[in-house]
Amino acid sequence: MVKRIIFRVDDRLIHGQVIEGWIKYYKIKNVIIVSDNICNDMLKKTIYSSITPSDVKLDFKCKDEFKKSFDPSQINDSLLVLFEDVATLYSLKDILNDDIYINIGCVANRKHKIEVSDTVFLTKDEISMLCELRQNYMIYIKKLPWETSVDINNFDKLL
Amino acid sequence: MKKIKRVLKSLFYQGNWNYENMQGTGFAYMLEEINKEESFNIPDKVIKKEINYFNTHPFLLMFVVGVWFREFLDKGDPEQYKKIYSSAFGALGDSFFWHALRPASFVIAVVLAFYNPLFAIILYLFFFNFFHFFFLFRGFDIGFSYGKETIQWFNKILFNKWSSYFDIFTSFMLGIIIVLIIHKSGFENNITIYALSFGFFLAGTILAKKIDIIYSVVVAMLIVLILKVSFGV
Repeated sequence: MVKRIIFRVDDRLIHGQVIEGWIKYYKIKNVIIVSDNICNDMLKKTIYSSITPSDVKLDFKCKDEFKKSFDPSQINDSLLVLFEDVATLYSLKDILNDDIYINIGCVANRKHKIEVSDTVFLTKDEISMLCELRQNYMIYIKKLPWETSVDINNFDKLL
Repeated sequence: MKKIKRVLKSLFYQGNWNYENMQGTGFAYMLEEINKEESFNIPDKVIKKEINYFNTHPFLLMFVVGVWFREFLDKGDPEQYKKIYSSAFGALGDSFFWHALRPASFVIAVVLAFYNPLFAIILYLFFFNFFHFFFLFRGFDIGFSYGKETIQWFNKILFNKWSSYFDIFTSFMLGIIIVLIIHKSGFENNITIYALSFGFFLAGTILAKKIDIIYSVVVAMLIVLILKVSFGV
């Protein structure tokens, strides 16, 4: 089995598409939620742990803690890292590398957001961040692993 | 009667499903209806705001509605827990209702269809919808009484494990289906066929947690095809 490290932006974090789609498709056994909002909240951690399949290890990290501890050479199995928003992913740009599969999955629509795909709605700031990341890394916009990624060749024209 | 009406209303809540706010309109509709029914007297403008993005498993919706009211009335954080529980129930609901309960209901119906096809269809609808309506019927009360701790109720009934238990049951039933086909075809004494069926039953029971139940259905269909071609069953 090929080791795969996936960084996914999904404001719903763990939901049906993540469990029935990404985790099962890539047989992922390790998931990390990177969120300052959740890492110190016992109840929220219990909720997410309770819905994760029992054979998947779920861990919670605050942003800075994750940044310090992330070391791809120490990872043996496939790993899924979930972020609530593009800003969190962008703040970790120093630790990104070509082996990491970056996926934008689901970012809910809010006022003043631009529709990028049927499930991804971004602000201009978020699009700018992704444009910057795209200069060095591939970024895939798709809900499920077997779908075709939304083409973002002209992404900066949305600005 | 009030609860039955509420369940009926909840069946329409996906009527305005769309990519912009997903089930948000339906969520606001359910809040509006229950606000009236229970006389919570929450101002309309608060309810109208809830028309924004919302997406969860439709059968578990009422739990989120209950949590929202409880959190709002307790001056807690209804938005935060609405978001977390909508994701959580999306995950739990997809795994159980779509992934496990649907094939389990199907195999039960197939077994019964050998004896009475009409009864099989009725039982399929009854078995699947028993769980569907039970959760819609009880959801609000449980969500409202547990509030943000609603996950404790799901943990108490081990809901997270139900899908793997149902997968094992479905595999077992697939073995039964193969044996029934053999009996119906009058090949009771062919040891090879029995060994094959028993092997499938064992492998299914052991592997149901490891492999996807859909593969199990495909394997069962292949076995039936092999039996048909090789032995004329």
